[in-house]
Amino acid sequence: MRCDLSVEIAGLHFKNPILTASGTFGYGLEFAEWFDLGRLGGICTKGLSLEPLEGNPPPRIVETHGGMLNAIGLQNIGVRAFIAEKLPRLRQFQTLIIANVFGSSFEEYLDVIRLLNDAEGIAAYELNISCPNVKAGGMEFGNDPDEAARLTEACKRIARRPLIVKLSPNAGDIVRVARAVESAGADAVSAINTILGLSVDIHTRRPRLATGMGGLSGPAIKPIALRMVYQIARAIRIPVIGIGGIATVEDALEFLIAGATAVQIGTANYYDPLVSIKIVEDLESFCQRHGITAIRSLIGSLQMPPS
Amino acid sequence: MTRDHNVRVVSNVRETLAYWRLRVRLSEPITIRPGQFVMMRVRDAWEPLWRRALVIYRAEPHAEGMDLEFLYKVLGRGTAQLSRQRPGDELQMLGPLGNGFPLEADAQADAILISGGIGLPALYLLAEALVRQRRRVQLFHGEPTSESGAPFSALEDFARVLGREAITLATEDGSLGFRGLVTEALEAYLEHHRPRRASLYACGPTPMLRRVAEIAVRQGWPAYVSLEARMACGFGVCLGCAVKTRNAADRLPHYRRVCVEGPIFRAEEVFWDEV
Ligand SMILES: Cc1cc2nc3c(=O)[nH]c(=O)nc-3n(C[C@H](O)[C@H](O)[C@H](O)COP(=O)(O)OP(=O)(O)OC[C@H]3O[C@@H](n4cnc5c(N)ncnc54)[C@H](O)[C@@H]3O)c2cc1C
Ligand SMILES: Cc1cc2nc3c(=O)[nH]c(=O)nc-3n(C[C@H](O)[C@H](O)[C@H](O)COP(=O)(O)O)c2cc1C
Ligand code: FES
Repeated sequence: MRCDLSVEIAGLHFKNPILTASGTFGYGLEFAEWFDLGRLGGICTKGLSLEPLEGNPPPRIVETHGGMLNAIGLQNIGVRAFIAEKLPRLRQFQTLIIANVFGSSFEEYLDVIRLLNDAEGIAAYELNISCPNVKAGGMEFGNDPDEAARLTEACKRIARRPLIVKLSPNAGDIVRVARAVESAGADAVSAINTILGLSVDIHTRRPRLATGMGGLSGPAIKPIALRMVYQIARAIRIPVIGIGGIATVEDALEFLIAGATAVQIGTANYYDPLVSIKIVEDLESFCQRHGITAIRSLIGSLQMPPS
Repeated sequence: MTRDHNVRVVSNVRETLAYWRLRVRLSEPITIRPGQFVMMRVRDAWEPLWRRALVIYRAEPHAEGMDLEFLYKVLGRGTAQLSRQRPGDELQMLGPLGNGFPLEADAQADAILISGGIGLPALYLLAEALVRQRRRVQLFHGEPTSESGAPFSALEDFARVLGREAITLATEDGSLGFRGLVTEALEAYLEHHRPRRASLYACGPTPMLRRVAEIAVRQGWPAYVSLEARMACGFGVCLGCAVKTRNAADRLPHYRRVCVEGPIFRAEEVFWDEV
């Protein structure tokens, strides 16, 4: 008996619910010499901006217990170079390519999407709204439900592909932001991005990252991410893609049961570049062992005690 | 080809107070350029999160495949965990990674190798390759003190390749060899022997590398330095290991990845104030 691992999100057919997270999988091609990218459900690209970005001064990363902080500063080659240099090879793999998009203003998000609209081989856009809005005093788009909704609406109007909005756990109330972007027309949400954190060098009494604070990721954030995905999935009708500290098939299953339709593997790719494909394989054997014929049947099957 | 190799520990011993030597076995030989490194993880260990970068010290092909040796210092969690691995234990070794030292360049010039502390293992395969090219090779190695346990057995390895007279040991406290910094030992040598032309290859603490870079500029010689950076992945996707360098073509500053475009850089490309 074979298990049907496929899931549907915004009319897209994913062959399995295992995707790789933006910023942890490069432009995908870096992994192509190690396994067939076509075995993944999907790939989220490094965040793309209108112009190339150099990123922050080093040190940009620091290891913490069960996780890491990063302040890469959204370094990327720019959307045009992505389309010209990376996409032609990437789109030959039988997997769904999700372009992760960000900007420092409304207009920049829209310009990036317009350029991607004309490119072939992209399945969906993922909006990274955990970015400072330079024109609004550096306040992150994703921290304010109204701002997040306005951005979603503007992007949705011009996007020729399904729009996934990636939510920030640093918002005061992530569920309110999820509801707001759903009303504004998002086709799905993904959660969570990194959690703002700090690490201090006690000898120099300075932060361990050159720019001060950074985003926490890795196994340490999983319970928080899982709780948020559960709450979001209960509150909205569009699909939720779960992200945060996933390193094993058990982690991925927890997210599906809590209500995620698919998951993204992030930080784990760094210390085990084959982890995403192992999780796909382990998911198959888990289903076989437990007589599960369709992975869809697990989604949102969590039985919470009545509160 | 770069792969995630499952390797077995052959031996893992503390050779002096500060230095450990790890030997692992691969089931097939791999091609390595001098100065390349691996990202090492104890098999299925969940802590620490990141693998640890280790430069490939020596390589020895044999009937069953290939043995690789590493020389390391126990500093924190990762290297302490590594030091507890016993013969037969399994490690996950991603590699080889990085660019390695350029060998084709300056084929006529003498080669001067400079290392400080745990920078030493980055230079052994290079020394072998340079000797194979019939280059004249000198090694200058620095330690704070011989009390901390200089890597004597490793220096013996170098002596077998280069000859004992080609090696200068410097200790800051003068407990063994030249008294002072390794770069001071190098300067004394240059002043005394006045070689017409040489290329410099260096690995060690940043202040040492910076001084080597200054000496190279003054002499008008090329210098190649191996840089360190915190690394989450080691294969180019996290962008965590950035170092600011001048682009050779346009001379403009760009961040480059120590793990892919490095760890070896031409000294004049590096913005030393920002390392
Ligand atoms: C390309 C390269 C090759 C290296 N080769 C060797 C080698 O052959 N032998 C050896 O002993 N050491 C080598 N190092 C340094 C070695 O990787 C660190 O000493 C080691 O990671 C320290 O880990 P830890 O858990 O003991 O220390 P911790 O303090 O617990 O490390 C915490 C984090 O900081 C990072 N870190 C700490 N010190 C350094 C450092 N000096 N350079 C870079 N990252 C650091 C660690 O990787 C880790 O992610 C190399 C580093 C690089 C970048
Ligand atoms: C170094 C690094 C860079 C990242 N870059 C991006 C990015 O460009 N765009 C984005 O939406 N998320 C980015 N993320 C966030 C991840 O996609 C993911 O949401 C987060 O790391 C949580 O998942 P994890 O715990 O599995 O890593 C980045 C994360 C890390 C660690
Ligand atoms: S260590 Fe990840 S890019 Fe260099």
